[in-house]
Order: sequence, then structure tokens, then C-alpha cells
Amino acid sequence: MNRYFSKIRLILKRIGFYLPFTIYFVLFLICVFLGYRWLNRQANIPDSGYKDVFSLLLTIALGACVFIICFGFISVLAAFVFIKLKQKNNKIDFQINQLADNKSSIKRHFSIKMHPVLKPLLGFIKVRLNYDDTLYSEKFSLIKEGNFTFFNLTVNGVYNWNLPEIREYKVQKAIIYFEDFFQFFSLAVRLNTNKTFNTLPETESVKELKPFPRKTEETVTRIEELKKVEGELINYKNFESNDDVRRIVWKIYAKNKELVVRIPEIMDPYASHIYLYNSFYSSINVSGNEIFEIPFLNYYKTACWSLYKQLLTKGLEVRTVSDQPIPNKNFSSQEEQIQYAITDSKWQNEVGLKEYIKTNNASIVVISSLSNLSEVKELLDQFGNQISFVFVSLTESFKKQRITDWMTWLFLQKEKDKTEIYKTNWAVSTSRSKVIENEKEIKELLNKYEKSVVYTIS
Amino acid sequence: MGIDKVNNYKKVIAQLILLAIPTLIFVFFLLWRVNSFYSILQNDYLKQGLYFGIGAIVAIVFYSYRFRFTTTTVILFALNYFIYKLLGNITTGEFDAFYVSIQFLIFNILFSVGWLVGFGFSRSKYFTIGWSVLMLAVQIVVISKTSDFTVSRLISDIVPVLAYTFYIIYTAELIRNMNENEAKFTWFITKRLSGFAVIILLLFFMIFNLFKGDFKAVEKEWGGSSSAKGPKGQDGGNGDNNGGGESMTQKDKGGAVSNKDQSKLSGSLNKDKQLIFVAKLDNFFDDGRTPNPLYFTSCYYSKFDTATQTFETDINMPYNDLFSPDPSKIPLYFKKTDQSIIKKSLGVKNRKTVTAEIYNVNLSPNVYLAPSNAFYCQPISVPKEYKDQFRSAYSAKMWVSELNSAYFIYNPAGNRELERFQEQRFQKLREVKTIVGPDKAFMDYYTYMPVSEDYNKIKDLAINLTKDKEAPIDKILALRDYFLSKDEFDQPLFQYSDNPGIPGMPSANKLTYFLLENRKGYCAYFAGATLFMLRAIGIPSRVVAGFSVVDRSSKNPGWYWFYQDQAHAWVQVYFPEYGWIDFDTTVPDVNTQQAPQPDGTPPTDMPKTYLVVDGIIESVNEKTKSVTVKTDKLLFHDKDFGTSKPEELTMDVSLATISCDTGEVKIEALKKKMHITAASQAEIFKNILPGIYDNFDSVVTKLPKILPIDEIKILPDVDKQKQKEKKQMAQKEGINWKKVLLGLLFVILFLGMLVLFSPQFIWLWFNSKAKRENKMSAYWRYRASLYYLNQLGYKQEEMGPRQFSEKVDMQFSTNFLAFSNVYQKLKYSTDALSENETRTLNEFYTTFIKQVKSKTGFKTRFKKFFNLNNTIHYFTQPKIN
Repeated sequence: MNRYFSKIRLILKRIGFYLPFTIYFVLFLICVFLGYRWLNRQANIPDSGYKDVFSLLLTIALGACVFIICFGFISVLAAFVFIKLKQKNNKIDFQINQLADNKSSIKRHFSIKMHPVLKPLLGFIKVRLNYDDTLYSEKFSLIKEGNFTFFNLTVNGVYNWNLPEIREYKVQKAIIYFEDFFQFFSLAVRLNTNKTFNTLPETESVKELKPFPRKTEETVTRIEELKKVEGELINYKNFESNDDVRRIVWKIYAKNKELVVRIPEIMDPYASHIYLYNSFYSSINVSGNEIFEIPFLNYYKTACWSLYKQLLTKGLEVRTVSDQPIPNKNFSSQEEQIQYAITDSKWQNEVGLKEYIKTNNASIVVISSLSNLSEVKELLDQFGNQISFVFVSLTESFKKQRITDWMTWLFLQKEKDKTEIYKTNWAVSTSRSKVIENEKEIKELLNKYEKSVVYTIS
Repeated sequence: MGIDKVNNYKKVIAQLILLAIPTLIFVFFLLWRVNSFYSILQNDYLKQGLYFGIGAIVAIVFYSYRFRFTTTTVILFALNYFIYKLLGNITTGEFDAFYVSIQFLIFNILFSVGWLVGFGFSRSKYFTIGWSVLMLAVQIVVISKTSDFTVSRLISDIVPVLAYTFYIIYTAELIRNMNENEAKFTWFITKRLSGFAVIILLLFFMIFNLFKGDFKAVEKEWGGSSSAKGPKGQDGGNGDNNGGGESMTQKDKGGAVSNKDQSKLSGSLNKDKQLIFVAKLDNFFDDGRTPNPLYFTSCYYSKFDTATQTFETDINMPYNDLFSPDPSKIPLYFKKTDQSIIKKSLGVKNRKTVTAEIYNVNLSPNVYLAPSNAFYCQPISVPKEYKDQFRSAYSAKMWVSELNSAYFIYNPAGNRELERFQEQRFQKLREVKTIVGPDKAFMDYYTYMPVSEDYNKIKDLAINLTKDKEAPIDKILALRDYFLSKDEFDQPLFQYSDNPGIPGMPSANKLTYFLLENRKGYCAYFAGATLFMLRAIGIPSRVVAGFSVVDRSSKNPGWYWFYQDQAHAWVQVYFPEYGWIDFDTTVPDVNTQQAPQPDGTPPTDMPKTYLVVDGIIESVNEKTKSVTVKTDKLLFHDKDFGTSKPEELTMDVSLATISCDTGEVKIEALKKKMHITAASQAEIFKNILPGIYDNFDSVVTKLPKILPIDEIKILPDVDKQKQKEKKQMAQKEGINWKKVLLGLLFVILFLGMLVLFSPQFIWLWFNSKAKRENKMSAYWRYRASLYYLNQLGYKQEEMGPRQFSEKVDMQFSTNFLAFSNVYQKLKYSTDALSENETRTLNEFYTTFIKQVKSKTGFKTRFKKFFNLNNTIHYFTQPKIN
């Protein structure tokens, strides 16, 4: 039933996007109608010119409204017809690109460019983006870029998009609105595009960890300089097709026509690597629950990423293992790959801690308030002194309310975001007690082990 | 604690400069207009505007921070309320407290409105739409109520509000949509606003061209206050004009006159010397010969609107003793009486019944005028020979106080004889020691006085003037004498003037100005001032509007002629048992007195009407001039007969005069279902007398089969007339509106058609060029052929001329290639054309077009010629070599 309603809502919403007039226009009509009725109800003053002057002024006022509204409409219609014709001939160029982020802001910056587009006279061009199939951005106008010329068929600008969820977004369509100077009419044209953007986790300062690498790995270090060939034959091997040609020892080739390469030096033999396990396992069913899927997941991802960055800055060799399949993409560095992996992860209930963690190499295991208590207990019992367990308390993401907050709320209106709604929903959520209980018990368990920490983002 | 901002400083500045300041200017303008006409506002528009402005500006700055509207505003309003209450309590002196708290209240209201507007501009998305429409509506009402109706005035009043309305919606949206991070932010705003200004100018240009005629019509009909304010000599015959100046009477569309049901104190009074009605008053002194004239009453102004300084009638006044039937709605010779009037007149002493006959010359047919207190109305017929002179007539009966003889009422103004005569009346009234009304509500109502500084001055004056007097009548006389008193130079203190002018401050109290400063005015001023002075000392009183009587000649005793300039206002004072007694405190108007109007010949020798039939027409025979009427009401020898079963009566109307409201009409005007009254003065009825026991049916049987009728009056059908008026109004309002809409639709349609048919037009142009024989014909033929082909969908695109020509020839089996070659040769070669080539050139075009036409069906061609894309493509493709 709910699904049915949400489907209808979506359809209605979509229809709303394509309505040729705006709520301003409806409001204007209502106001004019009410004003007209009020004026007509004004008591007539007999024996004066009131009635005549009144009807004349009313006619003028209405005439002026009709004129100026028609003017606006025609300018919008012209722009609309223009783009429709161009679209028919596939001559519209629409580009959207993500710009470098401003770290402190949750807004992502996008540059949008359209050509050729005729702007409605003194009117506005607005855009709405359709992403992830069913989601739509707000209707926005672009922050203009480029030269201010009087006649320009290119629309070029920047949009600061609020995409708070740490995940990947797929922009599929752009709806371009042509609006008149009063924004009464809004004729929409749909343009297709296909772009993917990420909201990446940010690095926060976190509690310091002192992990120990447990995995011994052979590190192949490339020889930066060609050294003079010395030593035994043991240091050489025959050239194979995948070997670096620069390593061929030409002196040997000169002597006996044999292509041999020098075997790289091997750095060992101590435990060199830290294996970081980020568990997205949830012991309770959280699918469809916005609180878990948005603020909690964001918090958890930020924690995982911040932890990783902290380890990196210490100069440690870190490897992470994902507990869910991550699409293969080309990344320029391992760091980017890990960031993407964290970004793309979701809560899952298939791979439990025990299946996920390879206890022989794991250095750090990040667990959340949703982790299974018995599994955590079992692992701690066995490896509590070897593996660092980092516990991310999800409920911490909602900072505790103070009395002053209430006063602030009363007098100040915060910027519209969903945090307040999540907070309220969380306060009345049925899962709340379960999660808090779980958190409490995990914390108690962890307190027994020196290596484990309860993790906080400051 | 840092508070976040919703709007950054750039936006706030833009809101202040572009929204708040224009709004403030507009509000100043509006307040100034309102202040000019509503005295209650004390002419403080600068201060009031400032209050509003402070509210708006503070709110814009305040709400640029993230403050919540509801809580902050509730606290602000509560604070204001407490201050208001506190001020009422702490200020010493009752009046001071009242004054200070009223001042604070005005401040509070305007500040709060400003605050809400400021919030709206700062935060609300939709506010500006509601606000601007509201301002537009308010301004329309204010202009309609208060403006002088001249073209320039109307334009200067409506232009700012229209401009403001659109400006504010546009600019608010512009500011909301602008991005403060944007570079060249000011340039963006300036560019946009300039563009918008051009559109607005265009709009006004169109409006004034479109509505110029209407403006002028309104000015002609209602405007021209400048002439009304001129010297008296100029406005003498200016009865149609009551827009700028005030008149004691009003005219309907047919030019008929009546007293107005309200009277505004204005700077000038328009008078006319037109004869309004003639009355025969059966009121004589005891000698039975000397006529005793009476003032004629139309209505009572018992209420005063302090805001507009207008006297108004009030149907809810206690003991409403006004009898105001509509004589045109009463069938001829039938009567309407209201005996309760006698009781409500509250007069028992010195009262008698007087009859009068009023002959209407130019009086509105639905107006009933008679000396007070009338209680009876019977429309009577006008003798044939006077039909041209009088429109209609009615007879009236009044319960008249003997103390209300005009000679008692007149302001003696030094006339000793009159003073002596009036002394009799005063002696009688002196017996009344205190005036006590029938009940408290009565006293409260008729002694009500507005409270303000101005009215307090009037009160002080009245108390001062009457301090030595005991009896109410002496107090009244003291007030009357005040108007007749002289100043230190022995000049009259008060003067009658139709053009007293208005106080320098437009909203100042006109009565105070009249009483204490200017001391010039017409009857309404004198009556109004007297009214408030009387009420100030607790004497119940009201103003009467009607006609004063002038006894000009003794040619026809009992007959009085009433001209428009006799329209008058005076005061009535209530005396227990005597009822309402008239007093005229207006000082004599030298002009009117010096130029009396002539009396005419009264209608005499009225034949006796024996039979009156009231009914609905069943049929009309224009040939035989007979009318059949279904009647349920008869008047026979002055006796009423009615029935529940209407009878059909046939009437001979060959000699009858037929009339309706507006005058005499022909028999063709009689239609089925019309309500008429028919009267007969035929001698045949003289001897048929109704018996004591006769009823309707028996009377009908006594009557002849065909009734000879002398007069028929058509009664207006009330419902139909209302409907008609409504329809007319609707049409009047609708036409302009529709016109504008239709005009616009037509223009849009025309432009649309023009665009749609443009390929056709272009083709016609090319074709006509191609058909001409001249040096350029080869070029035009080539161009035309290409255009034709292009329009049909055969585009040259990237093809060379040869390639394209071959393709076309293949498609249509034409010789386009040959022609193309000739054209290329002409274009690039200096060689002369061979004979063959010249022939090709000459013969090619018509055959080519024919051939192409034959190969493409009409339908395809028709369709393709509406394809604008192809046309655009033709003109945008790279130039043909």
C-alpha cells in the first residue's frame, strides 16, 4: 500500500515538475481574485464618480496585469520553442561537471553549461537534476560565470548542490525551466545526460590509535638506480617477457648473449602491514530506515575514512578489506580506491564479523553499534589482545541536546536540513533501545581490552 | 553565540534599497492621500510613514539573521501591548492618557505592519504577491473615494501603484534569485531593472493610449472640481457637476433632482436655479386666508462620519419618524399610509393634520417630499393641460406642529417683525425646563458627539455661549444669535458663502475651522455646527435636509414654488410633547434673497376622478385602442374595493394619456403583463354610486362593459428593472475586460498565423522575383528553385551545385542541371550565353516548378510549406556558391 502511494506521489511530483505555471502564478490568481471580490464588495458611494472611476481603475489594473503577464509568457514561449527546435535537431550541448570541493562545506560544486539557449527576456533559466532514477534536486538557478554580454546563447554557471549522503550519485536527466520575470510561467524541457558523482567521506580528527602490523608481506621495491653488477649468479635470472627491460644486465649479454635480469632486493622479514577491516555488518534489519542509512552510515563512513587517513599519515602500510563487492574502477592511487570503497559501502547483513575477518593478519577491526554482540565477544575473547577493535558509536552522531538548544530552537530557525527530522525520528524510533543496549554492552566488553578503543570524532 | 545569517549583507542592502525604500515612498504617498481625506489621522502622514519605515527596515535587518518569526513577533507584539496598557495607566490627566495611548496605538499598528512587511521581504517567498495585490486594491479604493476626477490626477494616482505592484513582485524575485557570490552583482541588478523599467514604460504608454477616452469621459462626468471651486457667479448653472464641489441635491440620469442621503462638508456648494416642484399646501393661519408655509423635509441626517466629515442618514435611528414611500411604485390614486409615524413623531401638543399636493417638475419620481411628519402618500393624476409642465403628482398628509411654521423657523436676522412673531413660539417652548427623551437610547443617540480635541473646542464654545441661559429654548436662541452676532468692527461674525473654502490642512476638522476661524459657510455648515453645539450641551438634535420655503407672491395663496437653490439643511430639536421643532440657524444668503424666482401658474380646476383600476394588462388592441386588464383592486368614488379573484375589465383608452416614470408615452408602449393604473374622470360614472354594502364584484357589475379611461400610468416592474440594471452593470464592467483579452488573443493569433504562413509568404516573394525578366532573373530563378526544393525537403546540404542538380533531375526528371550550368556560367564567366543557353534560361523556371509540383502531391506540398524548420534551414545553410 505504502509503495503504491509513494508511486502515485512520485508520478504526481513528476507531473508537477512539468506544469507550465508556478505556484506563484496560482497564488497571484488567487490574490487577484480575492482582491477583485473585495473591491467589488466595497460599498458604493451614491451620487459620486466612485463607481465609474472604480470600474475604470479596475479595468486598467486588470488590463495591465494581463498585458504584462502575456508579455512574460510570450518571452518564455519563444525561448521554449527555440530550445525545442534545437533539441529536435540534436544541437543542444549540455555539460555538467563536478568541481573541486570546498572541504568545509557539505555542498558539492558543479559547473553546468548549455548551448544554444535563448533566455526569456528578463526572465530566468532554472535547472532541476534527476538522479538515481527517482530522485530530483531542487529547482535552482546557476551562479553565472563568464562574460556579461547582452546577447549570449550560452548559459554557463555553477551550482552548489547539497548532497549530504556519502555515496555515489548518478545524474541521468536535467530539466531546464524557462521562466518569465515574475516566475509565473515555467516551461520545461528535458535533456539527457549521464554523469556520476561522489560525495566522499571527509577526514575528521579522531582519537589516536597505536596499532601494530601483524601481516608480514614481501615488499617488492623497485631498484631506482642501476647498480654495478656484482655478486653471484644467484642474483640473476633469465629474462622473461614481463620483466623490466631496464634491468637487463647488458654486460652478461655482451659476454655470453644471454638476457638476464637482476632479481630485486627483498625487504623483509618483519610484520610490515596493517590490515584494516571496516565491518558494515548490521545485526538488525535497517533497510529502508533513513536514520541508519543516512546519518549513521555517513558517520560510520567518515569514521572509517578518518581512521585510515590517520594511519596513513603515520607512515604505515595499510591495506583494507571490504566486506561487500565494490565495482571495479580505475583509480590513480590506492588511497582513492579505498575512499571509493568506503563511499560505496552500505549496511549489509550477509557477511558477519567472523566470516569477514582473517584473524591471522587483522590489525584493526572497525565495528559499529550494529555489530553482533556475540560475534564481537567471541572475537575479543580470542584475539582481544592482538587485534585492535575500534568501536564507532553511531548514536554519538546525534549530539546530546542541551537546555540551551531548546532556547535556541525557540528563537532561531536553523538552515533546513534533515538532521532535526532524523533526531526527532531517532528519539521515537523502536530500534533505539536495542541499539543503545547493544552499544553499551559492546563498550563494556571493549573496556576490558587495552588495545581496543571506543572511537569518537571530535 | 554567533547567529547565522539567512541573507548576507549584499542581499540585505539590496532589500533595503530596492524593496524597503520604494515601499516606504509608496506608503508615504498612500498615507498622504488617506490623510488628506480622513481627518481622524490628524494629517501626520510623515510621522506615520516613518513608523512604518522603521518597522520594515528593522525587520529586514533583524530577519536577515536566523531568527524565528513566530516567537520573536509574538514577543514584540506582547511588549507593544503592555507598553500601550502601561501608557494608558501612568500618564496623568485623562485626556493626555487617551491621547498618548492613541498615538502609541497608531505607532504600534503602523510599526507592526511595517514589521510584517519587512519580514515578508526578507524571508517569505510568496509575500510580495499578496502584498502588492493588496496595495493595488487599497489604492483603487482610496483613489475612487478621495480623488478629484481629472485625467492628470487619476493618472498620477494610478501610475505609481501599478508601477509599484509589478516592480515589487519582480524585484523581490530578482533579489531572491540573485546569488550574492556572483561577480558583477550590481551590474546584474542594474541591467535587469533597466530592462524591466522599459517594459513598464511600454505598458503605461499602451494603457494611456487605450484608456485615454475613458479617463476623459470620467473627467467630463465627474471631474472639473476647479470650476466648481470658482467664484459663485461661475457655478450658477452647474448642476450636473457635483464631483469636486458639493451640492445639496443630486441628479439622476434623466436629470431629475432629489435631496441627497448624505452631505459632505466641502469647499464649495453648487446650486442651480432649476424649478424642482410646485406644492399646494393646505395650511393657513387662523384667518383662513393667510398662507402658513412649511419647510419640506426629505431626510434626517442623524449621524456624522468623522472620518469623511459627512452627515449621513441612518434608518436605525431611534423613533425613526421618516415616511419615505416611493410614489412611482404606488398605483395612481391608491394610497400608502404609515400611522405609526404619528406616534414616532413624539409630538402631541400643537399638532394638526395638514394636506399638501406636490406637483413634480424635476423631482426624482421615486422621491417623496413633504413637511414633517408626513404619513400619507397618494399619487394623483396631473390634468391634461399641465402634462407638459408636471411629470407626476401626489397628495400628502402630515402631522404638523403648529410651531413649525416657516415664519417660526426662519432666521430673523434682524427682522424685528419676524422676531416679534417668533416670540410666541419661544414663550410656549420656554415652558419646557429640561429636555428628557422618551428613553435613554433616544437621548444617547441624539446627543452623541465624537470625542477629539476639535469637538472639545466646539463643546467649550457651546458651553460658554449658553452659560447664562436656563431654559433649553434660550440656550438654542443663544446659539442661533451667536451666528448673527457682530465682531468688534460691527461686521457680521458669520457670513453665508457657497464657497467657504477648505482649511489649509486638508484633514483638519471643517466644522471647527468654520466655527472658530473661517466663519463662512453654507447651510450644511451652519446646521452641522449648530447640531454639535446643541448636542454638546445635551440637547437632542438632528439635521434635516429638504427644501426651505420662500413665500414670494400672494397671487396664488397656498401655492409654493421650489427651486433647486432652495435645497436646504437646518436643525431639529426635540422638545418633550412638542416633538421635533425646526430651527434654521443659517444666516441669510444675500444672493438668493436678491434674486427671487418667479412663480408660475398653478394647476387648477382639477376634474374629479371617479374610477381607478389597478391591474395587469391581459391584452392590448392598438386598432380599437382598447385594453383588457385583470384587476383585483378598484377605487370607486374614493372607496377602495379589493378581491382575491381578479376580474377582467375592458377599457377604452382612445382618449387616455399614458405615462410612465419618465413622461408621456404612446399606446404602443403598453404590453401584456404590464402593471398599470387607469383613472377615469368620465361623467358616466358620476351617477353610479357605490352603496354601503357593495363589494368588488357588485361594483364591477355596476360598471359599463367598456370603461372610458382618461389616464393610464405604467408602474415600473421592480424585478425586471433590477435585472436590467444588473445586466447593464455587468455589461458595462465586462466589455472592457473582454475587449482587452480578445485584443490580446487576436494579436497572439495574428502573430502565430504570421509565423505559420511565413514559408508561404517567402515563397510568394521569391516566385514574384523569379518571374520578372531582368538582369537578375537567373539569380532569382535559381534561388527560388532552391527555396522551393528546400521547402519540400530536398536540401542541398553539403552537395555541390552539379551533384545536387543531378539528384534533383533524377528525382523530378527536370533539366535543373542545364539551368544550373547556365547560372554558373553567368556567374563566373564573362562569355556571352549561347542561343540554346538563353532558351534554357528563359524556359526553365515555369516548367521546372510545374514538373516538381506534378511529382509531389498537393497534400505533401501543403504540409511541407508549414515546416518552419526547413525555412530556417534554408536561410542558415552556408551560402550557395
